[in-house]
Amino acid sequence: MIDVVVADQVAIVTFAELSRLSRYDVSFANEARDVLFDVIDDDEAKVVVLRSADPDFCAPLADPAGALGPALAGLRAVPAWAETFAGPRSLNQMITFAKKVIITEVQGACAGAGVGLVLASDLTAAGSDATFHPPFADHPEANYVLAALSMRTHRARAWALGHTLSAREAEGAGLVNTVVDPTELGECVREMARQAAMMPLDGITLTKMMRQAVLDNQGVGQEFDAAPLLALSHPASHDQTGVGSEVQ
Amino acid sequence: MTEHPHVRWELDRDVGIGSLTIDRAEAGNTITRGVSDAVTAAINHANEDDDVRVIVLRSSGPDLTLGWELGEAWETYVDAPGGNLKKMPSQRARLHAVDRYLWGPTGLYATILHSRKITVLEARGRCFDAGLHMALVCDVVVAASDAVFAAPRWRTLGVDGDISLLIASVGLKRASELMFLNGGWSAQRAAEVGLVDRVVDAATHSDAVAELAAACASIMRDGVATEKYLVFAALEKMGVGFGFATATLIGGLLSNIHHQPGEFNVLREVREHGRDRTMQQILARLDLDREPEAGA
Repeated sequence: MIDVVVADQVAIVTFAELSRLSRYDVSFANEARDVLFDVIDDDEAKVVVLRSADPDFCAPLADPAGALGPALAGLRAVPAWAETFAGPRSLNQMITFAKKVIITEVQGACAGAGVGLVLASDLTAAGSDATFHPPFADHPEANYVLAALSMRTHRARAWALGHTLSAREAEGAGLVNTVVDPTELGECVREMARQAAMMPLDGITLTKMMRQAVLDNQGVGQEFDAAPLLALSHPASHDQTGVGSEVQ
Repeated sequence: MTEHPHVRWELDRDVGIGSLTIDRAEAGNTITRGVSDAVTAAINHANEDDDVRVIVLRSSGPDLTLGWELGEAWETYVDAPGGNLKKMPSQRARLHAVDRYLWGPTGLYATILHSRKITVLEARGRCFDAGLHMALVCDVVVAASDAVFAAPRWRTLGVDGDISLLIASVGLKRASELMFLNGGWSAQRAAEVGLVDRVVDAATHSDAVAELAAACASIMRDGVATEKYLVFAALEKMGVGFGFATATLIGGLLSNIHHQPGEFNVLREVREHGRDRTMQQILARLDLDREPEAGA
């Protein structure tokens, strides 16, 4: 389900069915976390590329709101959900604060949890067929502060209100670094990774540490911390947790 | 004001526009300790002169600057307090040097950023490393069409400068392009991403800057001062002071990293092969033809 190849100081991590993260598949989330933990900890890899084996990077769910309710079965499930999907050991935080350069390679649809990976990564290259669906309405773990820092507040706000971005729109808004023909996407990402790997290993580590400090100061960590509260406020969670169920 | 052979301060007192010129074109206008001190002294002097309304920062020759003078890097650490006690400069000496000349409260960038006068950068040619940071700390940037913004030294060392202003100006993803990739930004691209305010033809660059400076100089001084202090407050709220302090720490640490086999060691290259060859090697890593495509 998750393939890892390390060569020339670059780790290529290929996921199958990333949408399982959007469905809050705990088993998959834990497997992905463990794989990424080992990759990020490997000094043979200075750069980590995240990609999908599927035509879509992370396909949209038919009922995105419906995934959150079952994940929050009972109020006591909220902390467990948060630990797996929004906490310091979650995939999103692990990638956001990784001490390696993280590049996301996006083709086709990028929705739900896949957007979270894009927001968390340092660089993103997209095929011209890519689309970026706003995640915030149904994924409380999606970090809006990261979106605002990347896209400037007003564009992030417009996106958050429901407008799916084309690849070119995403590039123009600052969510994506470069857009290429889908047939050239792999080569483009490999070249980006090659360039990033030229920085000394210790230099990458210290640079990412500085980035983490600056992002923390901007409230990125606090936004992750707020995810459980956002989850509780989501209507899909009311029936499961009982919180907010009086509000119609 | 202290004279320096490579820094010129010229004030047109009638219109209140001061021109601060780095004149070291034969060396790519690289910033030495002396140049840094002279520039900060000139800006501090201008801050105390009520007739000064606008400070235009520029350089002679085709390039704004190729960055900090590599040939002085080692001596900067050795000459700092605690820097020459052992074979290698101490960590405290390195931190002192980075704070003193670069990112500290009285360093070059904080001095420009917190000037009480309107600062206009006349950016042309290669605006590398220090040139990129000058664009970030000046109020207004007018770039000639031949300007290129990049941070080539980051490729060989790590990011040893503030990124809070960079992220605030161009966005997080785009900041990462300069941090981790080998390209640079053309003047046009820099304007698209928000690093530069205006791009003009190289032939009319100085005239365009003069025109803009005149417009800025027409603003009432009380208004400028009030706006500036509002900006200072906003910058603190945005965490730029924190970013500068972090840059000091990381800059000091990066000067002392362990290099893996095969990794380019800037300071060792300068000591063993000299400044010119090291500069050539650093610049050779830039790939200025491979810019990200322009946004929609």
